[in-house]
Amino acid sequence: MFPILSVIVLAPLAGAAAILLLSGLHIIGKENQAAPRAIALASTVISFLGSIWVAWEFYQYGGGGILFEEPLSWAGRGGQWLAGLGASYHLGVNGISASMVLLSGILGFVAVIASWNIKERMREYFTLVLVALCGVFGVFATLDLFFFFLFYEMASIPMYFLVGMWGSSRKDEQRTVTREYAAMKLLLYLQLGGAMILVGALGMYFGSSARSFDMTLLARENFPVELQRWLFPLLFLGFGIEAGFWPFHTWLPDGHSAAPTALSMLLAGVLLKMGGYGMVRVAMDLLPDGAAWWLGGGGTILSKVFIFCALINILYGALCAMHQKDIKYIIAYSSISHMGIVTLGFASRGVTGINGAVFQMFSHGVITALLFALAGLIYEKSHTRDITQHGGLAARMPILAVFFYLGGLATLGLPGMSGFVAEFLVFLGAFPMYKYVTLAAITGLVLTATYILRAGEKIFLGPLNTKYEAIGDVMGIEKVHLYTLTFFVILFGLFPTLLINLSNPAVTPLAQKLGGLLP
Amino acid sequence: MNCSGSRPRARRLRGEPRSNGHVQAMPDRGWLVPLLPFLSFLVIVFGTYRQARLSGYVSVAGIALSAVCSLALLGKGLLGGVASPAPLTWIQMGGFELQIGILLDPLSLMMISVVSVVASLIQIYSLGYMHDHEYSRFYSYMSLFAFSMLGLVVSANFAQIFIFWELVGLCSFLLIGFYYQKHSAARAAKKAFVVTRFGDLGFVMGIVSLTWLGMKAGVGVSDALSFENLAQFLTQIPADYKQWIPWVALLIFCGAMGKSAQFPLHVWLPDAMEGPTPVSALIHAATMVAAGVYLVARTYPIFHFDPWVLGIVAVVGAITALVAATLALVQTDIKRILAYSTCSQLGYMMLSLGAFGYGAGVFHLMTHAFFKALLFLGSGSVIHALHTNDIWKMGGLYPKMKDTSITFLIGTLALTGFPLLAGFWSKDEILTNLLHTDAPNHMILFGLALLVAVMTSFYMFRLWYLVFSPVRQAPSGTHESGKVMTLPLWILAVFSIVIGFVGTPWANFFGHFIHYGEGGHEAGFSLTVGLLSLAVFATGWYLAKTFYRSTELPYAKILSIPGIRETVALVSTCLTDRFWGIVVRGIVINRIARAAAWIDTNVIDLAVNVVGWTVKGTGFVLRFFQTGKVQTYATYMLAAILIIFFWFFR
Repeated sequence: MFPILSVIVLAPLAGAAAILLLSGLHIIGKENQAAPRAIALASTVISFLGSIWVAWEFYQYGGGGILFEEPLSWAGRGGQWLAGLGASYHLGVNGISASMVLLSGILGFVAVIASWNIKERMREYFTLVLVALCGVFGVFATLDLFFFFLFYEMASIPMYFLVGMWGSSRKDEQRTVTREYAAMKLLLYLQLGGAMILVGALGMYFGSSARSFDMTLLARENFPVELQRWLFPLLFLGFGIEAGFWPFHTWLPDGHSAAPTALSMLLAGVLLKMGGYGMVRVAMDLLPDGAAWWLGGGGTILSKVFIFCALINILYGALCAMHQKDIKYIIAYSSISHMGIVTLGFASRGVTGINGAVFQMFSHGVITALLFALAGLIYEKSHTRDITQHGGLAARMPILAVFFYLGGLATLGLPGMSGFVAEFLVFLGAFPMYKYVTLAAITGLVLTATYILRAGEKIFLGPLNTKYEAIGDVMGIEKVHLYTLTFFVILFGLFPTLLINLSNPAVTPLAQKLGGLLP
Repeated sequence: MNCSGSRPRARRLRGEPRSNGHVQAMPDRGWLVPLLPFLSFLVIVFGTYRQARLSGYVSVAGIALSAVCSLALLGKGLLGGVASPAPLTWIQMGGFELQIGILLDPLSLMMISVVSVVASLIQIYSLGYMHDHEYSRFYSYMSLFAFSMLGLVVSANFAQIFIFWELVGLCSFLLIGFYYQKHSAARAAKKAFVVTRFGDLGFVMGIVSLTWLGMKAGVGVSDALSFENLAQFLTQIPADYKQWIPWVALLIFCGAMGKSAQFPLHVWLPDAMEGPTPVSALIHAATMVAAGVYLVARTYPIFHFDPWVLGIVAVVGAITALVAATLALVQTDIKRILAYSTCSQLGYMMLSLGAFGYGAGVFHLMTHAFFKALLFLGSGSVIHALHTNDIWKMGGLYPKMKDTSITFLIGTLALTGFPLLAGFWSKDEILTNLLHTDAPNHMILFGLALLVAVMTSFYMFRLWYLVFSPVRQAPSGTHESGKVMTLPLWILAVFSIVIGFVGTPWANFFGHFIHYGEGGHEAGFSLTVGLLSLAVFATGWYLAKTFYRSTELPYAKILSIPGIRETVALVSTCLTDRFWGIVVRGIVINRIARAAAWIDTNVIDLAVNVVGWTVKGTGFVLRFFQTGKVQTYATYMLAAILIIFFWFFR
């Protein structure tokens, strides 16, 4: 069988290697912009097409199993690579991973397009982006916890350099954040999360009879309930930190906003999803009893903690977003709010809720990437991110305004866009489990509408700010990623089954294990 | 969001006969009604956007065809039965299923006909009203609106109606903010969206809790949300959970309150007049704002389940009718007078629905759509000619603008309940029903309704005399609008005259066609009510005439005595805008959101930074011990050995 997953995962790495090699051989000079860009584009397009293929095959298969499995024999040993460790290069996707691979494929492609106009140190920039992308694909495609962790680090370390070197600082009356500070904060938080995940993974390794990191084996392992109860919060919180879990979320606005546009898109689009994905695929799937206990089933106050944090995420993130002036901070806080919906969906433990949460991960990834891309374009043209400094730009940049409203309306859950389906399913799924929490979470809808429309009004509506008489609209290549992302937002908003049919077969057995509601 | 999108799964005909026991072999093509305007939307956006005129024609063609289809379906429905097409599955996972369907029953058939006919006329009118360069944007929004509104009307379940509910909200947002370069328009658009969203919160909560009740009753999601099975579903809910039904009804009513601008969520409607006048006519008078009333009528079983919910609906309606009518008395902006009047009439409909007057409320919904659209278009014609909204700057338009004036007078008479015109029949039916119903406190509600009717008559004739009566002098250079605008006015005027005859107390075709339950609720003719309503009409008219039908306006000064108008204005702002201003801007944005943002920076992030600083500080101190010099290390070692030595052998 054609190793499509390896191709998807390794194409960006190969691209990075090619850029390094060609630079080392002085074939790509310092001033050469076209070559690194072309290599990056080629490798991400390969991954993008591959991910579409994977998702499509999965859609047609429509089952709950694992497809595209790739155990790689190493050096003729016939066994596993790193067999002594109980680890192996074992790839394969189930429905949830397939949709995440598709998301990463889309975002990898658009991130390169969004980086089209990077001026300084192109070679290093694209090398780092491609390495990070390899890590992202790896996280979603691997079936081995050891490699999961390896890819996780591969995805997060380059972020430090990308934010620290290509990022932007901010200094105004609301906040002063240097890019070095933001980069360090981001890295430390990701490493804190990583450390907790590692402890959790080791706990499972030593607790398992097979002494293996293989997730397919661990899933069959019946860990003692006590052990699950200890390990689950470690893993769930470790991944949660990565997904912007309150109160460990403050790296998110600073990091996302300091990052260059393409990286903001990747951070919000896929890095947060690595957290969400880990929550469901590792923590909940491998430790179902622990999950059931901690997510509302335990009967003590402890088992309500995560749910309350999810609610706080939703409302607090939205409220913070209402008071921001910096457009990127608004989007970043809205991410915090929307990732709370993901957690709420997972915490419902039912089929509807978990499907909704997976849908929300995908939908939020695409929508936020769109918004960050727009924020980047606005900044590129007006040279400020402060929404109060704009005004009336719709007259000068109608296309940008249309896309902004499309993205904004998708964020606030307008039907016809993917966000609505996701939120609606999560609310439907969570209500029978947590009535008051869900009702409170629903009020987030009006908060979201307020901050999105406020931002849109301040930037695009009203009389044109005279400073911007000569400002121009988006054109050429800038439109490509806007169209691509909007296409997916509307596609999955209109035909949600395309995505639900991927996740549902994987979610249903999971919900059964968790003792959640089946529709 | 179109139906063709979902994968057609087992197309099962759940086609029970919709009315009078006729079964149609072939399901009817109800899809066409909403889809035609959607098609014109797509054509405009992706095709004719650069050809302004063509965009206009595409849009008009789409909605006109849709109107033809609607009328054909209505005719079929009147003659025999119309079968709804089989629903399509939109989302499915395991036993969970959400469907998209087309529900064709008398109520929706009536409504699609009204919406598409009024929308066609208004779109034709707009060909004259709007400027050429605005055509493409305007007509793309209008087509999208027509699609959403028609989709809303034919929705077969709660989830679907909510989808279209939000889409009409979006179109309303886009069209209020059509002149987005005006601050006021941009703000009004935002306000409309956010305020209606407040109501929508309740709607979402209602839908979500309804599926939960469905789960308790062992009913699947698609059946729990279906309109057709609603009454039956409610009986299946286990007794322990029945107590929640009224609360669900109230939550759903919140959505209706937002959309139909019911007190205290009515504040967005007057501001919505920032949109172009045809938009006000179509969306904020005839169709979209009626969606809330339609929703209550559509989901009547859930309201009817417990009378106290209907009581609340009636009270909210009565308060809205009264407050809005009061506010309409003192407005000086022609569109705002009409907007408050719309608000007040919507309250009337709610009042009627709440007092068991299902048929009367829906009937008034229909007649109101015609004459209020007429009034708005008339005002648009005036604004088009004079370029002002201020009624005090108008006057004496009758000789100059005969068509507009006469049709406006017809609209006024229809609204105020002049005998034999449309509003007369529907208002009378509401009043008669209020008099004879067994709803609690119905006499108080009846009295309020009469009072509102006096006020309506007064403010409408005030408007007519100030703007049209030849007593005053017309501004120079005024001339009548073109044919493309006056023709729709005349057509609507004809409707406003004759449409009431379908529901006279003696031959109530309307009531036989559309009724709740077994029917027979229609109160017959009541001479008392007829005379009372005539008296009420005359009182308002006479007062307005004495006040405003002269150049000096002798009595009008009463209203301009310092204090009176200010008091009214103050009361209205305190009751409405000021209140929401305090809640939303003062509390939520300025206090809670600011506090959250402050906590985020100064508490949580500070704690994070303190951790960072501690680590950094520790490192800073420890740094002095790690010099790399062997002598230093030897000193440490010696010191350590000495300490240990003394500690052991002290």
